[in-house]
Amino acid sequence: MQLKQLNSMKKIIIVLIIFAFDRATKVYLIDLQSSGINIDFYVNSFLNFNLHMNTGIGFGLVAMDANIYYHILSFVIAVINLGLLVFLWKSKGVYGYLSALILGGSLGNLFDRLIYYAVPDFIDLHIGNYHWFIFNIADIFITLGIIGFIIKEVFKKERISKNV
Amino acid sequence: MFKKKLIFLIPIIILITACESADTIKRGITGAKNNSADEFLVEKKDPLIMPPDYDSLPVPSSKKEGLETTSSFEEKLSNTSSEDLSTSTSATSTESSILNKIKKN
Repeated sequence: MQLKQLNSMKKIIIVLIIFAFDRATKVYLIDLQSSGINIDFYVNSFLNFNLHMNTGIGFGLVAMDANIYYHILSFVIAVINLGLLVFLWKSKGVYGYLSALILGGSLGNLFDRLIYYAVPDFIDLHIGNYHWFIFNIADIFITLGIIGFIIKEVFKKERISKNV
Repeated sequence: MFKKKLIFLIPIIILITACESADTIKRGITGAKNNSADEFLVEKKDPLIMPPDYDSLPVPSSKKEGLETTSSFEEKLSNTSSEDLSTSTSATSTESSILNKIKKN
């Protein structure tokens, strides 16, 4: 019982660390922007920080103002987050930690949706003029969690096929 | 089973992530045009209209004066041309005198 509680605590700490890290980067850049500094600077030839406020969901889809549809969408995302929390609570081992990564990032984005009615994105990877989608720290952790899930599923599938 | 999970995962990924498309990708996907000058913003010139006080304009009666001036100009021109001619004739006379001298020699 104590071990289970310790594992749950670890997962919650991971969620909180990711959430705090994501919030810190966003708040820092938004403060810089509000102090008059334009957030559009190159770190190197393939990475630049360019602050954008995304009013939509992933990949810039369904960008909209804070109307009724926006709030419905935010509600759906909040429900997904709740589902992730339940999954985090129930899941064991690697799945638990991977869902903690996803939930930490997802909560960060949901918080921005509710507070700013938009999600700040600022990491712009590009090769020459070919830009990847502008993302933030929360998206990095969500993607890592999802990739982890897929890899875990693939290995699980291979193991099952070997046993058969 | 894995495919089913993946199908379930994809909409969740899209919903919980918040990456925004860079302008170039957005333009590529939506097929939007490049920002170019709007030809309809170019201001048209006003159409030609008759002046409102057209009747009050002076009647062009100075036709004769114009002719006179041209005639005086022509006179001047003719004078200069005659002068030129005289110089040209003088030039021919000198030429002929030189030629005569050469012939004599």
